[in-house]
Amino acid sequence: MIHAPSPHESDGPADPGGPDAATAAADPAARRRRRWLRGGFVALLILPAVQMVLPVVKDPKLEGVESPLAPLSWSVAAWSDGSLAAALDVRVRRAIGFRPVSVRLVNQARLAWHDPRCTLDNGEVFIGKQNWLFGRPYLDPYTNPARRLTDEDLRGFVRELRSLQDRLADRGTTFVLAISPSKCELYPEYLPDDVVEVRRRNDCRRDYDAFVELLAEEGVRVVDGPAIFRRLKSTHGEHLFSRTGVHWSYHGCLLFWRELLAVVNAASGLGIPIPEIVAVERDRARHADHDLGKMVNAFVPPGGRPVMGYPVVRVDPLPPEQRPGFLFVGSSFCWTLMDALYVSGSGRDVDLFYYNRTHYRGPDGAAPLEPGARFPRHRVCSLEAEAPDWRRALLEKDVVVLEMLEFMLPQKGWGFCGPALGALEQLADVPARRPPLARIAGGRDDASSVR
Amino acid sequence: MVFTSVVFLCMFLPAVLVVYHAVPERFRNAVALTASLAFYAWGAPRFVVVLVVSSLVDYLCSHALPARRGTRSGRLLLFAGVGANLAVFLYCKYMNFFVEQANQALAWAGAEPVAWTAIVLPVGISFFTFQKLSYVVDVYRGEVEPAPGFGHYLLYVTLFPQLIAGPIVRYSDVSAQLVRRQVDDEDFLTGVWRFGVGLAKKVLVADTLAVTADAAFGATAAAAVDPATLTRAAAWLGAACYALQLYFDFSGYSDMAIGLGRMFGFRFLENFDHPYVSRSISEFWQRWHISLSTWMREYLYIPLGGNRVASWRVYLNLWIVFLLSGFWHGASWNFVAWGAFHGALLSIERFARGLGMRPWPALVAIPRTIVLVMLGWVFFRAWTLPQAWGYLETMLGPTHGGATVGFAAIARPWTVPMLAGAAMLAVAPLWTRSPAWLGDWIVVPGTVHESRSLALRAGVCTVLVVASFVIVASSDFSPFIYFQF
Repeated sequence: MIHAPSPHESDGPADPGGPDAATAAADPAARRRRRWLRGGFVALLILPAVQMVLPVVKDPKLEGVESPLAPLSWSVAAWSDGSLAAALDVRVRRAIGFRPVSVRLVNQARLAWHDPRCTLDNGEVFIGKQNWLFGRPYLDPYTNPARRLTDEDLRGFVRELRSLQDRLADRGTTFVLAISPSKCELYPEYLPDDVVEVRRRNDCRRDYDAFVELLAEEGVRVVDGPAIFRRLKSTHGEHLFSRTGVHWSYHGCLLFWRELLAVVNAASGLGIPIPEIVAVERDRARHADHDLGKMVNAFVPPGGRPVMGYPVVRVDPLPPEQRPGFLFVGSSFCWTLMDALYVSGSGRDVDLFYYNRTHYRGPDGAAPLEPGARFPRHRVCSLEAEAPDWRRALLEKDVVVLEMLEFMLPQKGWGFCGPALGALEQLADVPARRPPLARIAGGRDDASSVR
Repeated sequence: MVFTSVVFLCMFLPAVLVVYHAVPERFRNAVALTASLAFYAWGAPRFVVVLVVSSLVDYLCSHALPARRGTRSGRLLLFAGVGANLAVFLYCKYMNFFVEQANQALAWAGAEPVAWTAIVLPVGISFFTFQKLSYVVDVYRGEVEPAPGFGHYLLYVTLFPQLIAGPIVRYSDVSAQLVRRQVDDEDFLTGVWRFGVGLAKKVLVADTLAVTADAAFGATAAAAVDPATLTRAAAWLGAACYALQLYFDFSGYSDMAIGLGRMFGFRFLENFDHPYVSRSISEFWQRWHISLSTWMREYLYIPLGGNRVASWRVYLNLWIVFLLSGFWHGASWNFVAWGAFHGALLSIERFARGLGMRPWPALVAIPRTIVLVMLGWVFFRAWTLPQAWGYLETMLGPTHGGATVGFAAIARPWTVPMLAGAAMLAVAPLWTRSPAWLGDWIVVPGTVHESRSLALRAGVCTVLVVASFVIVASSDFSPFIYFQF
């Protein structure tokens, strides 16, 4: 039934004024109620600002790192052109009270629509089949695997790696290149069909394929994660990547670590005990195995927190004074790699050059950790602001592990090799300083690799 | 500062409300003026000077006018007052456009382009210029007395609820309120309710529909979508989403302005009246952006001769008014085309009425009007005139094989339910005798249900404001899992 609109109608709600309102106004109770509502509205508006300054209720922080904001410019020019106001607007919006709960509410509502495309479109999480979560930065290199580097570029880089391996060996340090795998490459069956179809259309020989061939040619010691994981995927019962994690699972990482230690031991003669997996403990995904699940920033991530198999290891830790010193250079995959190091009780004097940008250090001689527990670390400095202590980083270490993601080859080892080679040259006359370690019989094998 | 920013919602507004209602009545204008200047200065401080100086010119001019009304010097003074406002307006809003057109012509002729630094458009200039013009003209006409003090006039021009996006308030409508006004609890709560509804219309409905409209047209000029890639269904969906987005966005903003005004004791006239139930384009313009239509009629159409001239002049006048109305909306050929389109439709309607054609039944006339308005919005939304033509071709032309972006590609899961819900609200008068039924139902003051209905209204308003805050506060959360990327 269509009613003719009357001329006095408007978009606004009815005006509650009029004789009835006058009656209500005369009623003290009604007046009191209105007073309270008036105050209540102002209080409702101001509450987030109060929460921002004096957190009244617990407002759990959001997961993930937001891009840094430029420092405020308190100049007349910035005020005059509006850039100061714009910058303040962004700052207030980021800091305002109840933002975390607001973000979680919105994300939960979006998830309720069951459409991966609409979930967290600005975020880093991509939802695949059966609620498998993928890191968005990994998706583009998966769908577009075209070569970024020429064979010449790659060969130059590989030769640099070989040179570093040799120079370090001259100083008694073992170098290993660790290639970490991509979840998209290993588990494409959980990606949406249209994504896999794009990859199928674009499929070609990748930088990675050419790189591993050149590494073998040049004799660079490598632990080839993608190849190892492809092999383990068909033979091993546990997921090598967690459904809700961006990195290899703890289990997958421990398997990789075992391979890496075998290579290190074979190359160095060091007798680092290789942890033995004696049982698997089922538990809800821990820490890094659930980082993408947390990144969804919803109250309940898609599919909830998965149950994972955590390896129970048996290892005879070395006495603290015999533990080797490690330098890791690499991506966030190194965090779990270092957890595995501590689980196997072989950590002493552990440093991480995170993306070769930030220096982190682990505690000396820490007791072995439970599987899935976090390796304790502290930030030392920004490597962009301060030059690294090369003497400590190279001459006091027994093992240097350069970790690279299989699709981040264009980063060429995060720019570590060149400066490290330069430092080794400068420190040519400085003797290496490290405690004498027990070495297993059988000597060294300079070309050992695992693929 | 915009009404939907966190700074406004959680800091500026509550602070101003507290101070305004805490000070004695005689200081309230000072508080409102200070708050309004601060509101404007927050994002565009350099334009405050332009605003204040040009207001001072109006004020001085208006006080000199009454004594010279009807004289040559009076007309000169009026011309100076109107001219000064128009000069600032035309320079700030259209100079970039004119120079760009001139440079294109020069390039075509093989001449050197004119060197030009683009002017930044002062926020709200279209709205406050029209207010200032109406004041000067009304004073000259003797329809209103000059403002009693510069502070009063400056408050009228800068009053923050309507400064940025209207409604265009005539001085005569608020002159008494500028001198003396009272805000009782009922006024305040009505304002709160209206503000909450407007906020929800903008944040929850308009911004949600905007996602699909942006996908159809392109979110930025650089990312403008080639309409040839859209299927017909996708193009119609995009146009429908935009039609409702625009309505809920603009009427929501007007609701917020009216609600805020009410909280401070001002009563602004309505700006929207369910335009999508109009049976004709002329009715549409009585319901859409009423304050602009009224202004155009009073200060442009009637001075041009209005209806009391020959038929061809009436058509011409309509065209001129709508061409200028289109150009008022933005310095681009798209807006000119949009204005020309509406001017043409109005002329055709008028011509048909002149022939004695009977109006179509509502069941046909309303959908026809909606479709025509939607086609017009394509000019309004498209980034360029070629994109608009291409889009219209996709909507109305023969099917072509190059379309790859379909309905499902631009629709989000919530698009269709949201579109349906928004459409139901937009045409509320068609299915309920009282379009403000929600308000009627919730508040029945003075009855035995008064306390219950008040609580209900407060509850609904709280939900709307909180839901809007949740969206606003979470709007730009875009973190990285780890920092290096």
